[in-house]
Amino acid sequence: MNNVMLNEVYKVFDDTKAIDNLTLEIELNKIYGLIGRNGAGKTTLLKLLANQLYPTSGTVKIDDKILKDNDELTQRICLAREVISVRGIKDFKLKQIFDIASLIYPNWDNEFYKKLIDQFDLDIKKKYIKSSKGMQTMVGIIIGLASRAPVTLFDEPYVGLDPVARELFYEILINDYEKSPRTIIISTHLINELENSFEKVLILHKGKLMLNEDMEDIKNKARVLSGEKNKVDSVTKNKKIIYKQSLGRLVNYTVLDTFTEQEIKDINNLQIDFSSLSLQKLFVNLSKGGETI
Amino acid sequence: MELKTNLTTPIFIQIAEMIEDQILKKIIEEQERVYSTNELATLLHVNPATARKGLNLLVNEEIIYKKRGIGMFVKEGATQIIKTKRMNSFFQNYIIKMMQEAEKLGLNKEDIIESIKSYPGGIDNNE
Repeated sequence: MNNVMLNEVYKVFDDTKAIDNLTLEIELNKIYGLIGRNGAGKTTLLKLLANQLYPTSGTVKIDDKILKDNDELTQRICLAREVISVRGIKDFKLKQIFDIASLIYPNWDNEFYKKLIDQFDLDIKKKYIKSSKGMQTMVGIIIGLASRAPVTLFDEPYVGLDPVARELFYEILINDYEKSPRTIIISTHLINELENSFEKVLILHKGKLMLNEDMEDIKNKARVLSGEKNKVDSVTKNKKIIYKQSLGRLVNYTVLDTFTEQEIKDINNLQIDFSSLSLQKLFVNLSKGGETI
Repeated sequence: MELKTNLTTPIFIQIAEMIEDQILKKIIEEQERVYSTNELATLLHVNPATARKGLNLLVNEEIIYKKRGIGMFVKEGATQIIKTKRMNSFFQNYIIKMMQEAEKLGLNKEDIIESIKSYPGGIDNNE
């Protein structure tokens, strides 16, 4: 078991609350999408989960044990990004960096690692500092994948990566996850590229959790209703409206709620346009709608 | 094979319908192996849980079945099951809607039959 639980976690830098009273259970062996605007607290949350930052108050627990100062638990978590921040490592060759990673993570799969080097066509004799941005990102991705850590975190795993390499990464990730399931959290701004790969979605807004839902439920609930204002109002009376737009007598309401078959029939009869929207668009509208929900 | 993300139809149902379409078009024949969860997830960039749900839907409708350790296969008679199911929804989705619209416009049944006959495609009785 590798249950991750955050309880009333705060992380304060100077006077900014980067994480503001976060209570959250990360469900076992699911792929999470972590979404939020710049400065929403995504990286801080991932670092807290990886034991690279300590909470100002509150606890991060794995299997009911506090993560802080627990090396055995820390080894079970891999945050794919952090190579760069370790001082002195920049002058290392890629090979040396991978060698270190292979020692850190108990589940490291060397066969898989070699295959990944091949698939991403990475020259491991090169120095890290002399590698391109995309190659540096690949180093993080390869460590994340080959670590086979029970909790694997990817922080924006696409910086500098061309679309071909990104697709390759998504395909390898899904394929390998199916073979050896583990808890995966991916923070990303390229939401459209990954939305169907997520099983759960977390949206952070100013350090608080704005949404924590199954992707399938989001797909079933996220709707846009467009039509004449009085008609749209009449069918959305008891619904959770997250964003309103209007143009003359016409309105566009973004709703995150369920509709019964009868309600959908009524909507069709009133000639209201009823359509679904992508996770990216939902996120944008949620953010525009602000903290009112 | 591509998913439409702007549809209100859930992804797992889209996956099931996509496979049904391929069985109807004989791209996958009866008794032949269908895609695995992993193949679907990798190809369509969906979560394996979603792909599994789509396949399970077809298992429940007795369109495909599981052979232990080998994979999922199309059942004999699957084409007929899909056709029967689709014919019911053809009436629900197309005929009823068409007749409701025709009523609004004051078109009578003969007008509609005439316009159907003048459609260049489709299957004729003697074909």
